[in-house]
Amino acid sequence: MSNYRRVVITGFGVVSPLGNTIEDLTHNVFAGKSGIKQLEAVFIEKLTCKVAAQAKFNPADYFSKKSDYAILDRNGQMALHSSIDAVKHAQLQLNDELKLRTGVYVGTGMGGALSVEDGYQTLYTKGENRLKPYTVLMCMYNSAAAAIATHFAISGPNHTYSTACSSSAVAIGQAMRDIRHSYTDIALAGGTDAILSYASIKSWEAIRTLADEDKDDFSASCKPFSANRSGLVIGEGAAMLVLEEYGHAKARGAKIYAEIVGYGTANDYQHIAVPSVEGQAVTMAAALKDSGLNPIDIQYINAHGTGTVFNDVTETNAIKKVFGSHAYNLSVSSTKSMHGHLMGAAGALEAVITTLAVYSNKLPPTINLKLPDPTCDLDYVPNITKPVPRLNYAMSNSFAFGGTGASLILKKFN
Amino acid sequence: MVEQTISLENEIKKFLVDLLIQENNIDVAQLKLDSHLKDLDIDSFGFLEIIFSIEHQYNISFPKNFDHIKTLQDVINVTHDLVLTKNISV
Repeated sequence: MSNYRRVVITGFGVVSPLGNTIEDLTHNVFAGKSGIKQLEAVFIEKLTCKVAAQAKFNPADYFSKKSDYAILDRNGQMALHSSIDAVKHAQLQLNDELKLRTGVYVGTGMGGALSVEDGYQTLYTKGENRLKPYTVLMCMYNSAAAAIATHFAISGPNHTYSTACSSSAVAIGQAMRDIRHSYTDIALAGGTDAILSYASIKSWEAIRTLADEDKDDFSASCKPFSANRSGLVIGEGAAMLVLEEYGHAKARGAKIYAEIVGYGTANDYQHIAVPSVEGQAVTMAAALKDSGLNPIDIQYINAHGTGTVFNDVTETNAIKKVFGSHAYNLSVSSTKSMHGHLMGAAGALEAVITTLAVYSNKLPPTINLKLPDPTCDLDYVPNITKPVPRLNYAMSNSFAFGGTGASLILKKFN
Repeated sequence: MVEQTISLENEIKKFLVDLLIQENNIDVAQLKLDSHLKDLDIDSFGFLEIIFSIEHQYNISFPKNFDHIKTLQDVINVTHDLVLTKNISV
């Protein structure tokens, strides 16, 4: 560990159901606000689950020229805007020399899903015989990463990771490793997903993991760790972080929000869609081993916490398996209760939120937790933010259909 | 027939000019028929978008190789010929 270069977070940008600025996200996440509401879509009546966590993002409001965004799928537009904001937030000037030493690492679960669906609709439903000239470029999974690298004229590594719901946690972890081992000095790392289309939502309905609407309060439909939890709520958005080699950040006097000290990734092989205690535990243990920390050092876990019956009890038991009796001392929360499940972007948004927690010594809550589940018996920071004297180490968990898990460990920067 | 051809050419011209103003934010004062597309800041992908809109409007297919199409007048001419050819073959 001591031979590795240190990696710090010096900026971030988001497009999210809790706002498109760091200020709005910070305010809303610690105020326990929900970004979940009835989906605004023309096909709403055909849906069984009519709630979602949409991002208020009209690209025309964020880009000066149509040509800057018209060739991108919504996932690329959100990722590019988040990256531009992240670089501004980091006050990073990418000069020619630095552009050679900067990489792009993007996670996305479904890539240009909206454009794929749009293309099929044009051909099969509308009966037309030609597609938009950019269709290939909008649909390809590396479209968002390419747009970012092109915008900043970056020539370092440019990689896209697609491991379903852990995609962006993997992207951040792999970027951290590349900086640690001197393959690059700076990384724009994170993720993006925009899948609030008729076909995508129907495919999630089919696998029966979506939450029932809370008829009394749509915004409370996602209830992680609660006895009456009924599933996940799909969200959309992007989150991009600036990761930087510590010496570089220090030399330029950058503000450091947190240090990434651990990354573990492991595979949960038992079933393509059902999580196992062993699979989740081995992921968290890998991150701990990577960081050189002891379980007792971790004070807070931003859980994967989807709000499905299976995940939340499995994750609770996996935490107990890794942390032993310390599981009852640390705090766990699922911020998905507020921002929904951003699919491939979830890990990145939650890494940003975990960074904010470490930076401000505040644990964001699990909202809508009114009915405790006896099988989920840890401290889930129910309903209101919990201030702590000092938050030194926090973990952010991401698990996924397909099995790829990823845990990141963030350290308060001294 | 001659009048028909002239009106078709005018119609194509109007469609193209409207497209450039609306989609490409090009200043109408800048537009001349002998303007080269690259001078209007329209790159090869911008050109593909223009072709897409024209093909859609007139239900025609531009040739795969369009190196010979350089000016707005070239675009109008090719479109015009393709529309006439289509009408004859129908």
